[in-house]
Amino acid sequence: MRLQALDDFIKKKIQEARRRITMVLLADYLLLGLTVGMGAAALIMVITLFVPVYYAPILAAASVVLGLITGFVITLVKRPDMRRSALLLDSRGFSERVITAYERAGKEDAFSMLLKQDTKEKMTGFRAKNAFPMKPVAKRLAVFCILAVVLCVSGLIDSPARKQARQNHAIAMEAKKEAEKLKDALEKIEKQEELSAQEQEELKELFEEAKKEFKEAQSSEELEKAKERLAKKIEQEMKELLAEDKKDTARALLDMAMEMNPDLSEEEKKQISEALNELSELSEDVKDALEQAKKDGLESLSEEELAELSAKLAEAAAKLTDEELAAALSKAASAMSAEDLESALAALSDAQGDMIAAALDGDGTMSLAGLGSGTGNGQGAGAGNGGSGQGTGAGSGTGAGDSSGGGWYNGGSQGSQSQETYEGDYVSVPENYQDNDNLTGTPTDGDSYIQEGGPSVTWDGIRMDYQKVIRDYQKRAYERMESGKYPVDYQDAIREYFENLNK
Amino acid sequence: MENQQELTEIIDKIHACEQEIGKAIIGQRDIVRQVMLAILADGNVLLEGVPGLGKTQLVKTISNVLSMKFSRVQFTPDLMPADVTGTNLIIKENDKNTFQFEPGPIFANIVLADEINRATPKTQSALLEAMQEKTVTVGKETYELPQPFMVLATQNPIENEGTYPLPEAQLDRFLFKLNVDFPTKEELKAIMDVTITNRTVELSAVMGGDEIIKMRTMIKDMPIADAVMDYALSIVVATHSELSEAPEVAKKYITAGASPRAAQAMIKTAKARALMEGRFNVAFEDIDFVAYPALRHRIISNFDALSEGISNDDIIREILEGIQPV
Repeated sequence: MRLQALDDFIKKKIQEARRRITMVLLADYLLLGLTVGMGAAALIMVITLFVPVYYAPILAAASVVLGLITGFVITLVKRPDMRRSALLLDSRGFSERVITAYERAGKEDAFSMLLKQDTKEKMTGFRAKNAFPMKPVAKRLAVFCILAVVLCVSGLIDSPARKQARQNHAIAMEAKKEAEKLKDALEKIEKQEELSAQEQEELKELFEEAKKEFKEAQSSEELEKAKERLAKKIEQEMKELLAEDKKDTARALLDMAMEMNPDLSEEEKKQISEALNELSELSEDVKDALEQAKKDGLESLSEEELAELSAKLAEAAAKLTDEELAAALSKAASAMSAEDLESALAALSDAQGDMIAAALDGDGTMSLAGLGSGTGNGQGAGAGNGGSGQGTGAGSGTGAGDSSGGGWYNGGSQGSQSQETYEGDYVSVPENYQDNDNLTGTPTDGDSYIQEGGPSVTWDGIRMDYQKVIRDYQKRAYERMESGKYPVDYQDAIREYFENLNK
Repeated sequence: MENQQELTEIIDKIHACEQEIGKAIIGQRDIVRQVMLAILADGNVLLEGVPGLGKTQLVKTISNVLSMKFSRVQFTPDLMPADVTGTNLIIKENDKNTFQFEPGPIFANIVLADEINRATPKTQSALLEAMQEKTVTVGKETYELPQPFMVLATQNPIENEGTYPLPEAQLDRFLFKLNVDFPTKEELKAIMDVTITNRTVELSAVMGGDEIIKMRTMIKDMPIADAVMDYALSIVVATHSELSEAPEVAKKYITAGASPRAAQAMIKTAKARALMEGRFNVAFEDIDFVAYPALRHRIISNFDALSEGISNDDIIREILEGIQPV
């Protein structure tokens, strides 16, 4: 009974000391962790007075928290066990009585009993609080206070670098938001069944490139430029898609463009969308008639037929809620009634172009002139010329024509083609594609382009779209810059060059 | 409970012994205590000091206080082993000549081997068996030495001519090597008061040999914490320069480290010291106290230590400072 009481007394005292030692260690290591964390935080805050880092306060707070956590973890690791606590207790003047008595727990021999009794006597009146006082190291405390002051002062200064950091962050956030929109649009586009795998891949590349540019944007100007570039590319893609009668994808792109246009209000977006829907529906109604007119020429239409077509357009215009569209259609109807198919088509195309431009650029300042006026000119020239001829040798000439069918919606693309002038080496082939001794080469069904030019026929080479060529060049140049093939000093100049080209 | 009472009495007697010895020996408190520790731990002591420091007086006083048989052998170069151990004499009994063993001066409880380094190695080694086995073999007979038995040897560190330094094996048999220092001026004055006047010091025997043997048995049961034991062993291990964990000082100055006997000596004497201090457990401070006398003759320093004036005590001090007990 006496043995048990002695053992319990010693164990209790060791536990008491252990708790106290743990508390002291905790306070000590927390202060140490806090001091180190604050040191790091102060360093971060001082550095960010000169270097723009938006997340500096968060980093500073994280370092302080990390310091505290580290202090806590170290305390847990270094928390003494009972034996260690007994030894530490002994170091307070008990001459290893406690550890020896603890190790002799349950032993009842003479030495053990005398030792335990002696230990109990020595420990009577022992207070762990007095033996292990919670006194912070003065030097550490002083360092802590100094760092706290430095941290507070450096945190309150609003330096130019901090302003810059905030601006950069705002840009980065915007870029991220835009990139998210691109991602959503890409998901929608991937669902478009009308696109071939290659077309989807091209769109993906376009978007990926745009996302990269957004991420790399260092200023709001650069971000704006990147957005502009994307708008141009989208415009180009839309033209191509419309030319290929892939209206769903074009619409998806347009929706995305509208979504990304910060200048458009929700109301405006809705209006544009509705107008485009109306226009789209209208196009289905009059498409066939216009197609026929375009195919046969206005001369083939009787006056009744022209009047009927004009009436259809006027009727459609009357149904439209969008004033601008209605005006455009009215103009088209008038032109039709005046037997001016060219102007009618131009007016229709203008209407759609305006809508797209409005979607891409809130104030409608983005030029999509090619989509409208180009259509008119191209169609005119194409319809006016024609015929066939046969000649010998190579020559140069101005060709204009409408080689592919399609409605008003692909007029832009045709217009831009029609304005191109081809000069240089190319061969002419007769319209009937028969073998000709005067010509070299063979006409193909691929990318070959057959151009008729008065008495002679020409066959030019593979034609590629200007924007696509530039885009490919730009992509290749950027890839080479990334792989370090171009000197760093020239990279800005290269970027600037392409940016200027895209303007 | 009976044992507890005995232990308490033993502690009292030890303190009484120290007080009694203190009457005749002025100063040298640590030396007296260390000799007492060696007695309680059943060990032999080598006292080193210049002549006239009271080494012989100390041994005589201890033997008087402990009421044990004391003998003194003055070691000289011509001293023979038989002069120490004893020899067989031809005795005529009943008209027959028979050999009879005549015990030498070693047959005592406390033997003072004065200036042990003056005897030849052959004679020195005669003590080996006695010190370790507590027996003496003469001819074909082995004789038990009286118990308790201990050898207290002295040697002069400055007179090296005509001396035979003790070999390491024999040094290792000594539990402690004590350096007897010159007394302080106050102590010297007190010595004069006792020795050059007609004042005589009356010493009384405090305890006898049987009690010493009993104490030795009891002290062996003294508990020692694992941490304290580890500390003592760490000190011994730290003297071995060939070990990778040896401290820099050992690697630099020690040629050969302490033997396992050193660890035994430290722990045994630390237990005795704890009891003398009135404790029932061994503390780190006990180990520190006995480390110097237990190790200083067991480590062999190299020429670097000699040339730099580094003593074995300096090396031990640095080793102790390098080992944190807690």
